[in-house]
Order: sequence, then structure tokens, then C-alpha cells
Amino acid sequence: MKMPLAPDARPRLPRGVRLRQDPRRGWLLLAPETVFEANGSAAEILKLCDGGLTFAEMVDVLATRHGGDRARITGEAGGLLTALRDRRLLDL
Amino acid sequence: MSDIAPPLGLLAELTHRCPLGCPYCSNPQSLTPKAAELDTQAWCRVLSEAADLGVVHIHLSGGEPAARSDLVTLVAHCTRLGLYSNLITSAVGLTVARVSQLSEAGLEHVQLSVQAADAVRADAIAGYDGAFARKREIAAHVVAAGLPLTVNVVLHRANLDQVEGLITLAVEMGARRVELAHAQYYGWALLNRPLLQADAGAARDAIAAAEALRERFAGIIAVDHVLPDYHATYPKACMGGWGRRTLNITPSGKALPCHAAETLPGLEFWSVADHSLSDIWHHSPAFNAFRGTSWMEEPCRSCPRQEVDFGGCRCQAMAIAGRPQATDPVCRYSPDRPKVDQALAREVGGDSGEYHFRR
Ligand code: SF4
Ligand code: SF4
Repeated sequence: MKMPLAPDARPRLPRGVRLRQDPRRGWLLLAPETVFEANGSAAEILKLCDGGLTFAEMVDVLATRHGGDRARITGEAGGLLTALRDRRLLDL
Repeated sequence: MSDIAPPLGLLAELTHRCPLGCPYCSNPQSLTPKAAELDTQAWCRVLSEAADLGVVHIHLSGGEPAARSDLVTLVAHCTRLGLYSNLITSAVGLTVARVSQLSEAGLEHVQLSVQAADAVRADAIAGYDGAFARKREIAAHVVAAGLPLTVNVVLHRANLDQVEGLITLAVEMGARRVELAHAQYYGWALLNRPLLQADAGAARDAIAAAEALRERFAGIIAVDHVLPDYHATYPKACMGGWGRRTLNITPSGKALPCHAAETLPGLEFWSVADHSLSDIWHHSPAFNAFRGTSWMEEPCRSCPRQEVDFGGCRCQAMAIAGRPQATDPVCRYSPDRPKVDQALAREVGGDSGEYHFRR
């Protein structure tokens, strides 16, 4: 696979995959039989994955929020989301 | 005490009762009877204490957890506490109605065991006619209820040639993930090791197949592969390190650092009946016995991998080297590695006898 994410894809975390703020550990992504520690920027991206926004719109939101460069954000968010998609932890 | 990080996961062995008889079962050879099981109230208290301690994942296991009539109640309790509940089941003992109830109670994931890619072999391994068909039926309802499904397969001599068929079956069943775990030899599996152990060539082929298929199936199904210990160069980081990430509670309420820990002599296990979970995690002698690296002997003591695999598995050190503090004999640096190689040479391709079905 390793297909890039289409700009009009609508990423959403499926049932059984959820973000949770842990008082001791920060943001955690809980998934079937694994837990990922999500750093600040990963958590920002994952919070937007509810199927409401397209990938392009997510990048816009992140770019306005943090004043970052669109290409860099696309690369970073795309890398995280395709890795999750390939493991069936993200639906489009 | 704050330097001991809280556990992430708790394996709740709700019961040892199970209709199947898998010869690779890691349950202890002496099974806990129903009368000695913790009751609903005790399990709810354990779950509440787990949430307070910092646990996020609850694995409801057994035996067959569906043998407990309070399974839905326990799942609902996890949901109230914000705990992620994972049901580890053989499907035999679940009904369609129960799957719906579990889903409504907030269950988050189902891990279903499958013994082989076809009914004849699968039922022969499980020692239970009709198990395979039942699993397919229940899997369909799990998926229809919207629950994410993982298919778990323990690989051993009698199904090692079916890697591709097993992954395809898991896709057909609607699983998002398939876990292929080579047999590990604890409990009933240790007793059946001569019939489970595969030869190095067959293991190597299966590993290569699984690795290649993982790539091919990316985006369709996640293939997780737990490598066969005895054929490896370094041991596994058993439980992610002793007393580091997870704990097990047995059906009668004993807290164990791993499911086979009771095979280790001289350890004092505390029960949830006498101590809080926090007290157990921080202070029980069994959890502190092999925590960190200070208990290690050579070659682990001066090895750069000591924070990678934590010296491997204590129960395997006991079973093969005869001493729980020894380096895991699977490790190439262990002076006991020849014992692993001798067992392999003796057992692979050995006689085809009868399984000791777990009863
Ligand atoms: S491995 Fe087989 S026998 Fe053991 S608990 Fe699971 S289904 Fe039952
Ligand atoms: S010597 Fe010990 S720490 Fe080093 S690789 Fe072997 S088991 Fe792991």
C-alpha cells in the first residue's frame, strides 16, 4: 500500500480506537491490544479525526492554528494517518 | 514509590472454565474450580482499583470468559470507569444475544481465537466438534454489532503451513487485525511441547510467509506476528518487562506479574482479597522480585540489551535452566542455550502422539 492520503478523504477513528487524556501520561491513543503515546502535535491531528473534515480541511485547520507551513503539515499528518490506516486503525 | 510507573494493562482471568481443550493453552495444569472464583463484587472492586492505579486496558480472559454469567456486568463496569475493555474469547459459550448485550454495555474490542484455517483441523486441535463453525457464526455477529475484531491464532506444528489461509480466513471473517503467535511453552503447552514444536525449516517458512503477507495485506488487515521463541537469537521482552506494564489476576484473585509466574519457586503472591491493587503493584514481593535490572546475573548484568528484553522470561528460565534468575535460555549468550537446542533436536519431527487436551 503506502498510498498517500487523498485530500478529500475524511479520516475518522473507528470504534475501538480512541484518544484519551491520561492524568499521568498525557495523550494516549487506545487501540486493540496496544497503546500509543501521542505527543502534542499527533494528539492535535488525531482530535480532528471524527469524519467531519476532509484531510485538506484538517491541514487548513492545523496551519491556521499553528501558523505552520502547509506542505510540512501535510507530510507530517499524512505520515501519521497513513500508518494508522495501513494498520486498520483509521477509516476514510 | 513514585519511581514505579503504573501498569497500562490488566489481564483479568475471570475463570479457568472452558469448553475447548487446546493443547497449547497457557493455563496452569491445575485449574481453579468455579467455587474458588472471585465473585462479581470482587471483580468490580478490582476494576475500580485498576482504574485508580492508572490501568487503561482491561483484557477479559480465561479460560473462556463467556462462562461467567456476569460478563456483561463487568464490561459495563469498565465502561463506567473509562477503561478500554477487550474480550479474549474462543466464541464457544457466546450467543448472538450476548454479543449484542456486550456491545451495548460498551465493549471495545473482541479477540477471537481460531485454531486452524479449516474446520477439520481446527476442531481436532480444539478437541471440540463444531467449534470452527460456531466461531464463524459469532464472528459475523461481532462485526455486525460494529465491534472491531482480531483473530488470534497460535501457530504450532499442526497449522504452521496455513499462514496464508489463516490470514485470508480472518479477512473473510471481517477482522481488522490478525495475530499469529507461535506457541509459547507454559502450562498445558509445556506438557504438549513434543507435539507442538515445529522444525526450524517449517518455522522459517511460516515466518517468511507472514512477513511477506503483512506487506501485501496492509490496509486490508493488520498482521501482527509473534515470533517463535526457541528459534530466535534473543529472548522476548516477556510482559514488556517484569512489573513494568501489566499484571494478571487469576480466577481466585492472585495477582501475578505474568500468567506463568506461579511456576517460579519462592515467590510470594498477594491476593486482591487481602491487598489493594496499588499495594500489590508497589509492594508485593513477587512484583519487586525481578523488577528493573538489579536482580540480573551475568551475562545479562553487563549486556547492552538489558533494557530491551529485560533478560527475557523468568518462567522460561525456570522451566529450562532450573533457576528463575538465570538468563532466558533462548538467548544466544545464555550458558543454557544448548538445552533449548537439544529440546528442539529431540522434539521436532518427533513421534505423532496424542495431545494432552486441556481439561
Ligand atoms: S487456549 Fe483453548 S483451551 Fe485454553 S482457554 Fe483458550 S480456548 Fe480454552
Ligand atoms: S544476555 Fe540477557 S539482556 Fe542480553 S540479550 Fe541475552 S537475555 Fe537479553
